[in-house]
Amino acid sequence: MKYTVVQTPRGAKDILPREAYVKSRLEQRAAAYLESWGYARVYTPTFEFFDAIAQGDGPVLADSLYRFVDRDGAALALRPDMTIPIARMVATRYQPEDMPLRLYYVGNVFRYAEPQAGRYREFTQVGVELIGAAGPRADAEVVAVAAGVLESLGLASFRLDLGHVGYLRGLVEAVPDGRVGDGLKEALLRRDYVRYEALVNQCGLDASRRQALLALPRLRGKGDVLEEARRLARGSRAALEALDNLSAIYELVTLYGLEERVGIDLAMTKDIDYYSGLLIEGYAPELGFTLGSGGRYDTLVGRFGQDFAATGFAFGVERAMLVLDRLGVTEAGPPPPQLLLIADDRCQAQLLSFAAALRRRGVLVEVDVQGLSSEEALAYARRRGIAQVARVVGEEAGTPLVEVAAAAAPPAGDGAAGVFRRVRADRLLGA
Amino acid sequence: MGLRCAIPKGRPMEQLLPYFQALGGGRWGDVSRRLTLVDEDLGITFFLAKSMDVPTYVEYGAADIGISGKDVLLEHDKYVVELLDLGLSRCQLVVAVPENSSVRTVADLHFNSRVATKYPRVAEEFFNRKGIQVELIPMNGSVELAPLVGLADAIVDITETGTTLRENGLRVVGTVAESSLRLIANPVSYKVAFDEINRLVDTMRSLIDSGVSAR
Repeated sequence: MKYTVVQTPRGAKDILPREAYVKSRLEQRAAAYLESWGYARVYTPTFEFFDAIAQGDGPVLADSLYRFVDRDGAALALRPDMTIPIARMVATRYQPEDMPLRLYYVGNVFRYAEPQAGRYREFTQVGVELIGAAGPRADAEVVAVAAGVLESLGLASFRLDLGHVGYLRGLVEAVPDGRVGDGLKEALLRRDYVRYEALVNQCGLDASRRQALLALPRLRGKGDVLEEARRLARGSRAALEALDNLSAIYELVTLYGLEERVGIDLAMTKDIDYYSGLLIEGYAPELGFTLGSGGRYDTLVGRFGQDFAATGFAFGVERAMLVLDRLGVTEAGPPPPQLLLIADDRCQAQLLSFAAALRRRGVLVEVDVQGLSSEEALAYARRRGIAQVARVVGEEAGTPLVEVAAAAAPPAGDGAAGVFRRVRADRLLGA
Repeated sequence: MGLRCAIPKGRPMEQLLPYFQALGGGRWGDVSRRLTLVDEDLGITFFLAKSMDVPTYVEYGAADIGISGKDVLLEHDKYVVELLDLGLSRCQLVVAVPENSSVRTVADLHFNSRVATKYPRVAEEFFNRKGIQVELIPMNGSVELAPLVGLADAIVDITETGTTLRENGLRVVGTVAESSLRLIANPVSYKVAFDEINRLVDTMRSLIDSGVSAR
């Protein structure tokens, strides 16, 4: 058959029951955790006007947008992240008196990137946005929520790095040629430290400022890095202000007891242009790429008409699943039903009402719809991992008459498999 | 936890050998035929890989660090940290045409010109930047052959000294990029083993600066 009829497009995939079960359980657990901090779930459209996305995004993600035209000729785009649609939503549907807002989401986003190393073109993000609160306390809360939600999912090994947009911006400000400054940022973003070093050495700054820039890629560690950075950035007020802000956040983060989880990485840069302060990056040693990211974006909501400070974090559900897999703690798939019910044509009414009664009591029941014989039913149950087959054979005084057989011999050796025995229906209902 | 380091097979490995001998303090003996090598003192497991594949190993984190030519990094645009220019296997990515071609500069190529290359991505970006439209023919090797048999009017390929190009009757008309071996790291590995990897970077840097290969 034609390729395009039977294949999924590159970077998109089907999620079959086993994986779907693990994924939806993970999303539910994350949601429950986020709600415990007072975050409320929101949904936004999967597609937006292209202009809205472009307004939020600047030029950076623009290359990776899925764009299309609706029947009226309006340009639309699939959302490349959830933060831009939420910023639009908040600016247009909320008032200053509603602040601060704590919102969370679980949603699919779409990026036209080369699918490789954990990158899909459609993937699910879970994230929080704390809107209408400026200041380090809000940032620290988001860091703590990020750490808490990853922990609640069992990602034992994850770490969060904190950086700041303002530090690099402050240092680069002094570079006389703007293009060289942009080149420095670009090299850092691509983590091409060879090019970065070469550019710093020819950027026309004095020795101490060059020194500060050259030291940047190694400004990574715990709180002491902030001291080192302060010493290096003496000449730049903007960089020092950024450090004050980051220090305040880091101090609060330690109050949450997160010193072990959280580090500082001042060389961190992002390819999304709406960040304005704190930067967050989550990673786990089991995974060669980041788990999630976030930060402060005080100017983004304002691009949609109403200014609100905001900060947030999101992680990739598929990536979290990969880490759990590597850690060997992935849950098994959906549990098989406990009971397979069969009956011949005569007893269908009793079968269906008995199945309903069992389900009301929380028993997982599957009803045969193929007219399987007892032997076929036992074989099918074994294949599906269903422990027992129950045959409904009639009714007595309003109670169904049921015969039950174990599909496979129990490990304790108590009774043979495949032998049907009459059982009182209420005993099964009590189970 | 030790580091895993992917090393390119072949020519690059030959150039790297003296550095690794110095790094390993001569402990390793003849390493050129071994596929993997564990050095307990350094805490590094080295393994050999095809040079084109090194960035892939590193991007996925199958290797924490690796050594790769800049030409390969440019072509594959992998998400890796580029830590150090080792200055070895220096070469240039150039545009070359047959000796008897009327093309004098890159600008003489036009939309009918066919350019054979193992580096279609780098070549495309180069010609786009110059505003020159050409037809690119991606190839897997022996690119010098393409103009000789009439498959292409020009090639984009690497050259160290220009000898192979000259031997094949080809003339350089432009430079696309400079290349040399780079020490690269997986971004997460670099975070996780920050001090370890930086120590290695510093050691390599001082070995390179002191010119070990001259010994």
